[in-house]
Amino acid sequence: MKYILAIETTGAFASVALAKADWEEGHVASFEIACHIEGHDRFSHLQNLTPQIRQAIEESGLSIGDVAVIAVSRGPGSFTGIRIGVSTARALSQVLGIPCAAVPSLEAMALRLAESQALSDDTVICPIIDARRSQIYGGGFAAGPNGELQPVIQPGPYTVTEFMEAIQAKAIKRVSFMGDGIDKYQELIEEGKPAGCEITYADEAVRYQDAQTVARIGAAMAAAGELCDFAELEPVYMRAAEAERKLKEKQKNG
Amino acid sequence: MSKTTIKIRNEEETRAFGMKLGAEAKAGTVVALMGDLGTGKTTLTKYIAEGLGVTEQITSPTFNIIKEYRTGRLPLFHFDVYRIGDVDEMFEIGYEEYFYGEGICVVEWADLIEELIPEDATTIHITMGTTEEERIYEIYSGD
Repeated sequence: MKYILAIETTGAFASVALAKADWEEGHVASFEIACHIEGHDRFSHLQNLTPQIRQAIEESGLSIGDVAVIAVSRGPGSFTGIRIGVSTARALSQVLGIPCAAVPSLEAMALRLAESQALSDDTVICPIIDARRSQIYGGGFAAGPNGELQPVIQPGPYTVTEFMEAIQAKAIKRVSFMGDGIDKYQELIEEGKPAGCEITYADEAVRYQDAQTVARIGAAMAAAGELCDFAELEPVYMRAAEAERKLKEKQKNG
Repeated sequence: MSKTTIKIRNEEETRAFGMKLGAEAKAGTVVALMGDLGTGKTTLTKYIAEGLGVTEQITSPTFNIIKEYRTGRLPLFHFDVYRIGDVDEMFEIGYEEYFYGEGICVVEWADLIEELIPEDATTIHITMGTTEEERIYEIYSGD
């Protein structure tokens, strides 16, 4: 039995989860959330994250030395949030001499919704994070044959319009949106809704990032041998769509 | 997006304009200033600060990129992005927390980071007028 400490700071609220899990090659044998601490102050990760970690460890009756793996949501999302989460994970990993799991934030979000409500097989879960100026970091995930999530729309930076076009291009019939992109762009989403596509929005209780599924993906990565050293733990900031385009233009024009 | 053009004849009118902007600014207001050296971006910022009730002296933040003033009605974040080499550096200084936060941001040389300026910002293009003191303000306001 091993403990995974999971950190999620890519959204407005920081959360920490401590999971008790067992894994062997390629397979998670058991997984259970031992403790889950949610932050209640918007964008106060710097003040709150370390106390939240301490609280999770103490409430589980453990000491920090019992943690075997640090799983961290590596982004995309809030730039400052990612920086705080990843640097905290790196520091703990280095000090404790334990490996890290660099968990993609959009996948962890999609898993949260997939776990929380029964969705029909043809539903594509689309986590979208506000990237400002009508842009999002988004992706589309559908359940594969064994229930695991597979990308249908490649996770990346999009304008809301581009994302809606991607839904149309893939002829997706049912979409369930989640993430703070909804709060900002619901109107644009409705405007770009392809004919014959049914759109639902995740309940607020499961709409945003959370560390519990970061821990779950962390366990799967551990089983798959995808852990890394603190020095290899890299944030994925992802440029917004517009900035990416400008950079490419600049490079093209020398 | 609406555009208005006004003629500022002298520093007294700059002061009146800045004071009004500062007095009316709300939390989350971003004022993007674009204009060559010597067009009075820092001067205008000083009067916006005065309109906000900032009592500290405003100095150019060129070498700091950003300065914070907290003696006014709302916090004032004064940016001078002239020395920003790459837009990525804005992320490193945490611009999101400032631009989408609880204070007022005034950004000098905003044209250098145009892709980060919020859609609802007030953008002011400043050019020289026909006399030494005269300036033309082209003002674009978001929705």
